[in-house]
Amino acid sequence: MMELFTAWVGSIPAFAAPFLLATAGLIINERAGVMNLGAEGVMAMAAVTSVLMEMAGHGTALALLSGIGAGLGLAAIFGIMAVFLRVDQVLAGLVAFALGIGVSGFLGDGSENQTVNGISPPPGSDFAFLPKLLAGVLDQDWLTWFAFFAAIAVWFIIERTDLGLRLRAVGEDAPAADAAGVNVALYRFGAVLAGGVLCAIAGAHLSLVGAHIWVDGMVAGRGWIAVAMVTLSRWNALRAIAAALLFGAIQALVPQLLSSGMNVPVYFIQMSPYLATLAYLLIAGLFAKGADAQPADLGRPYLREERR
Amino acid sequence: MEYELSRIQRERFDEISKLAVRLAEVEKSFGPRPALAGANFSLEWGEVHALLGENGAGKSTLMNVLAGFYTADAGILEVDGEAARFETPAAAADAGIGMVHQHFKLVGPLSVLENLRLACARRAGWRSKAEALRAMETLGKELGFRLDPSARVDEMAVSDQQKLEIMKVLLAGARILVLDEPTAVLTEQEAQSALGLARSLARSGRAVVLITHKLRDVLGFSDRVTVMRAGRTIIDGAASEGMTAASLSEAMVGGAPVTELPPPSGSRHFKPEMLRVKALCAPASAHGVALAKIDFSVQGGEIFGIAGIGGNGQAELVEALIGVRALTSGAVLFDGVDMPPSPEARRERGLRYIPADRMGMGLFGELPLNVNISLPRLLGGGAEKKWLVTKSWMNGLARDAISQFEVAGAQVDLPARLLSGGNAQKLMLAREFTGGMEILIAHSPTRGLDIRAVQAVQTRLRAAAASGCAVLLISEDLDEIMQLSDRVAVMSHGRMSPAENVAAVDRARIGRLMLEMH
Ligand SMILES: Nc1ncnc2c1ncn2[C@@H]1O[C@H](COP(=O)(O)OP(=O)(O)O)[C@@H](O)[C@H]1O
Ligand SMILES: [Mg+2]
Repeated sequence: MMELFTAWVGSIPAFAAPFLLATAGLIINERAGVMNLGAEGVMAMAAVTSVLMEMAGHGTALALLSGIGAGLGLAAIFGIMAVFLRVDQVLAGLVAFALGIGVSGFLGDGSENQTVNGISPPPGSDFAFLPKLLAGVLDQDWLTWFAFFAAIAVWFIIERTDLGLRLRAVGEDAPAADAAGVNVALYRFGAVLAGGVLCAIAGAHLSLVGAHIWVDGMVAGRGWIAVAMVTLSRWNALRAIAAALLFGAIQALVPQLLSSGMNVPVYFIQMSPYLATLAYLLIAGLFAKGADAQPADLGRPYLREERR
Repeated sequence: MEYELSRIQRERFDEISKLAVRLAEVEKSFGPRPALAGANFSLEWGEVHALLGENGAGKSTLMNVLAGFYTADAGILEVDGEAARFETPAAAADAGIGMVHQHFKLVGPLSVLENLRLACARRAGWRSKAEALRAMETLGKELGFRLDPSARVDEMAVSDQQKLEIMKVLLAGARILVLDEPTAVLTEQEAQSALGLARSLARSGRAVVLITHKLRDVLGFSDRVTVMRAGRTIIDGAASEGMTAASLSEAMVGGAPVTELPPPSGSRHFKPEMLRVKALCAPASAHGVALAKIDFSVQGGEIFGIAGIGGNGQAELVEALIGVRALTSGAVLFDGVDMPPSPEARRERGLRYIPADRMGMGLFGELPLNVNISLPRLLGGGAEKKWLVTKSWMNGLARDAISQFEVAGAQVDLPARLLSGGNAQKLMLAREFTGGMEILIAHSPTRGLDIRAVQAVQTRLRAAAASGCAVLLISEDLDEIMQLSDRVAVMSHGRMSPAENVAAVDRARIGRLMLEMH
């Protein structure tokens, strides 16, 4: 039983990392006032591209970079629609979602279920001198570590730097930011790209770290959950760490239960992230004041001479 | 001996004679209707220049062209003698132009210092928060402003927000200041000091544009005046000294001069008491004060004026009366019986309400006029409850309202937020003046409106009283209270002074009451 518990706890960070990366990415988007519903598609694009590149014999690093590139391309398409053409952001996000899912399925067709090396934790433990439970938590691959540092960096940049100040201004009150000399469109587009990079890394994490394969539909709603997690963590990347760990813990439970020989229906596995979202929403709804943290100009396109 | 200017003298002369700003033949349209149709304006260094005109005359549009918010369709812009064209607000700010907009351009959830850093860090060359703080404190001392650098802007009083805007503009290095209706949102004392500040900024070598539609601002505080009407310049930079209220208002309005609202005609017949407020206590709103034992009554046919500086409980009182603020004790009686608790039921009993924040609490800005007009009638009070709402019914109501209340520039399907202040208020009146109106609460009903709109609104209030309605007028404008009310009371710090007959009242004492009791 103790074994099981240690294994479970040790597997939580890697399960949490994709949620965390995508949520941090979307927080950048939304703090700049852009609602991006395309995360699921961006993740799928990155997941399939990085596996295909590794299958083609390129190294893992290049595979990851191309995954990021593919996700970024899709994020850029969304950004051009949402920021420069000022298409309704919900619509533009759904377009990016559909595009990403469709194109990734097309690209990965015939290459499903083929194992790649991907990224794994270093063999043996770097933390063997620590108690077993703690060592298990710390023995993670570098991309998982990156996720947590990235979330902290996102928080720091948004809350503590001049760049973050301008980003927040753009998301809270675009006309006021404009009057203060901040280029609203540029900041919003930049935020879409930066967020796109993190969402793409989240997707690559799923295929390179988590599954080591590509399967159509493997993102399995994580991009949508990340959209919800932004609200749950009240647009704060540090709170997103807590939320991601909670979700990671629930997801990590399933393989442990299976390997322990317990008979868990497959539907439960598929359902678990949504169940977790629902539980979190209920809890958050009961305890949090919530909505006051929402950027005031979220989802509102800005054009200088247009009356608002 | 020939008199020759030295080189330095000549440069000095050029400098002095150079205009700070020259705008000539500026045109700008939004959609089919031109907002500016060849407007002219010139600004000299060292002056306060009043830009006067009715709502919608194009004052803000013209100054937004100068400040880089709008790009003109045609025309000339020169700053300090040189041709300029600003594509962005940042470009205009780099040229030393700073505008305090009518609707402040502050980021509400950010702090005072963050707002300053956002707008000024680059131009002022601040490299750290400490440097920004020091600059803020130095300027604060100079201007006599005391603002908490860590206060959230959306939790500050409007007058403090305005001070922040002025600091922002100055710290960004502006030498040409545009203040768009700076006195519209301020109390009398605040307005006086803001205008005094404008004057001293101009005297320090800057140039200040004061957009206003108050004649007092022009005659008392400006050196020159430009009057605009319908996108054109009617008076182009005349000395304010030679101007009279009559000549200015004629230029503003055109055609027939605006006369004072005549005093109410004939003897008035008051009906028995309709509204009675008994020892009313209610909790404070977020930035307001609690109400302490408010007592008064209003008769049918009477206008009861409540004077006082904003934020002294007026908002809370109004909310308690319309039924959205729970009382801690006391009662509100209507024809001698307790008012029903819900706002909807109160509407049905004949309560009508003109809120101070006409776009926020009054109208649905995003919805078209026909919906704005018809929705409240469906909710009660109009006796027109129906299940099926047809467009033709809504349009009919809207058309009647537009013509009866002379809402200019309106079509039935126009979103309400696109109406100018005066026309939005006329729509608001049209919506509330429906059958069954017995009590009318009007909160700052003429704030921010131009002369003609003010008259239209005031005339309607009188008509409501004449038809037997009990009218409660709450206003910060003492002139308005004195002119319209039959009896007057003063609110200060959540308390109300005993009501007095307006004929017997001494203005100076009312002024003292407004400040006392604090
Ligand atoms: N951004 C805009 N979009 C559409 N119409 C506008 C805009 N700004 C101003 N207008 C219109 O231009 C005219 C002039 O408005 P404005 O300059 O705000 O007047 P003023 O400041 O003198 O009250 C009005 O009819 C107004 O409705
Ligand atoms: Mg204006």
